[in-house]
Amino acid sequence: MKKSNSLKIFSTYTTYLFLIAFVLIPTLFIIVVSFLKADSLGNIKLMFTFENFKKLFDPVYLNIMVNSLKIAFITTISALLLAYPLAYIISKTGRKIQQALFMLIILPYWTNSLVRTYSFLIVLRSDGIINKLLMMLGAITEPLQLLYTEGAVIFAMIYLLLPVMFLPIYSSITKLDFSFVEASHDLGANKFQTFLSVILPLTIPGVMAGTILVFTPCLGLFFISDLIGGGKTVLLGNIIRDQFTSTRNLPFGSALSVLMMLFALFFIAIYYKTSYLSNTKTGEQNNE
Amino acid sequence: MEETILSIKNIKKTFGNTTAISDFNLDIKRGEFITILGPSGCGKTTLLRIIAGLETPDSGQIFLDDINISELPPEKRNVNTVFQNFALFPHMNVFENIAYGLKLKKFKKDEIKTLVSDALELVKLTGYENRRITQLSGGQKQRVAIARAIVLKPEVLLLDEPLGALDYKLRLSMQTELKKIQMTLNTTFVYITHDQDEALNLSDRIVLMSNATIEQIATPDEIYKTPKTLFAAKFIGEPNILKGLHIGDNQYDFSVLIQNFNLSENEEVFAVIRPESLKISDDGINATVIDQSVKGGVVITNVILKNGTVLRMHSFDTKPYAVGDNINILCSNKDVHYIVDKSKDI
Repeated sequence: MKKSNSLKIFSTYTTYLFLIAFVLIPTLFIIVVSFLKADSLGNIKLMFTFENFKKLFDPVYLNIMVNSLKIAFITTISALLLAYPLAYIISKTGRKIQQALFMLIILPYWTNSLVRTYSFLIVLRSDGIINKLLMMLGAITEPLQLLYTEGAVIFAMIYLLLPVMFLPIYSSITKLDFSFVEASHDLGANKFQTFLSVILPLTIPGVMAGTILVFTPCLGLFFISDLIGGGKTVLLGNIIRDQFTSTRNLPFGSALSVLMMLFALFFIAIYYKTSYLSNTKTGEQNNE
Repeated sequence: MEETILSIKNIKKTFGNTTAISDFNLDIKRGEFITILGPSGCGKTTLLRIIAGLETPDSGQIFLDDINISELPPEKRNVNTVFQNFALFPHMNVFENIAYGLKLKKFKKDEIKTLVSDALELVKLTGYENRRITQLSGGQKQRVAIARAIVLKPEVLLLDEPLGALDYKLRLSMQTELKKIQMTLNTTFVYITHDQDEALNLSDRIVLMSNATIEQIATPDEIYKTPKTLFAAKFIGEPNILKGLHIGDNQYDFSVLIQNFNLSENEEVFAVIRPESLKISDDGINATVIDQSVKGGVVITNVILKNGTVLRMHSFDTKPYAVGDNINILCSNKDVHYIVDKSKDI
């Protein structure tokens, strides 16, 4: 009894300690730094200022932000449109096939994302698989410029983040109580109507979780834009990295990071709102 | 009342190696309250799901108003179901749940409002329109589930153990209300239950099932007094069942007086004697009281006969006997029901 209790205390406190040391303090540090000044050498000066946040509204950065958000938005929507039907169909297959398909989707996710990004170079370059195939089929005579385009960046991001979108959606679909679907049919709804008014609303928490997990990294995946986009597509993540490495303006980099955290928080807030509304099952019973 | 509304013909259904329903035939009359009674796993829920269209039978047809609906999807059948776990949509409030089917049927907004509030009035939940499903108690959820189904005015309402999730007292009061609702609407109810009391209280007719087959179709009174099979006799109430053998010349090796029963020699017969049919009488046979208890106002006495047979007696006698007392008991011939059931053992 006493032993298990002390183990409980130990594990609880180490968790707190870990979160404080590696999440809370660094985050606070970023927030504090974002209100400080940097001199021309990149040294942080202890002077309070809103300058870094004002700089966010500079048209140069505003453009990058809008473009970064646009790419993140397109990627998220595309991943969602791919992952939802995929998760739905896989959840309807038999047990064995379901496990196999599930593994096929998850397997790439266990590979280092940088390695997977490099593999895209081979697929997309002028003498890559796609161009060779198209030329062999006679669809084109000269290789297409696939690499170093915004399209390629989006394509690579969708590929990289699809499992992250798939998992929460798949989980929410398989958790869905099928009697709701049956009740909907029983009350006169066809398959499409049932999907729209019962299945989709009840799996929204999964969709929202997937959206957060895809949208937020999309703003920051600078190595994809570097490798696949050839540095032509600049994401929020690229400028943050530049502030910390080449430009050495840590306060401004921090301000950009705070902005990115706010984007993430915004989505998480929506997620909590939606999951509160639809995450309740019939099993619960209140007293009369 | 005599007109057949739902006709189930030769329905068969197997799941893998298990037969859920084997050759089920039943005609249900308009306005009837019919109960399908049986132990769990006897195939009653499968039958209900087949009628609703949620399950496809291996063979057989279902006719609703003389139209074959066997091939129709559930949404095209004019039957509605009250599900065992209620299956109320958790992302909608009470009004939206009840209005769901009406919206699909393209009713006008004000019509929907009236119909929903009428349905809520019928199940005594007026004013609950904006409640969330999670804010409701079990009994209230039950009422909403009923309202959601009856608001569509189905030809047949299917109820799958609707009171199973409720506590005992609530179950009793909901029984009365269900019967009232059924009488008010005059809708045909097909009610699934494993609870014999529910079946006896509510039904016009009971379909007793066991092991995928029908044991008996009869009114509650008939099924109680004249069970056709041993299973039926044992499932309803707690009767005394005595096994006897015809030993010639209208003689049976029962310890109870049994006469005028035509059986060929050596044929087995079972005598079903309801505990309340056994009376104290000086003309009776001698028995010894072995224990006694009182349950819900009924005195339950177990007695043992000279030959070792134990009988159960129910009486409302205020003067109970002490254990060890010798009493004389009698069962009049008209209260003994005989079953010849070769297929089953006692």
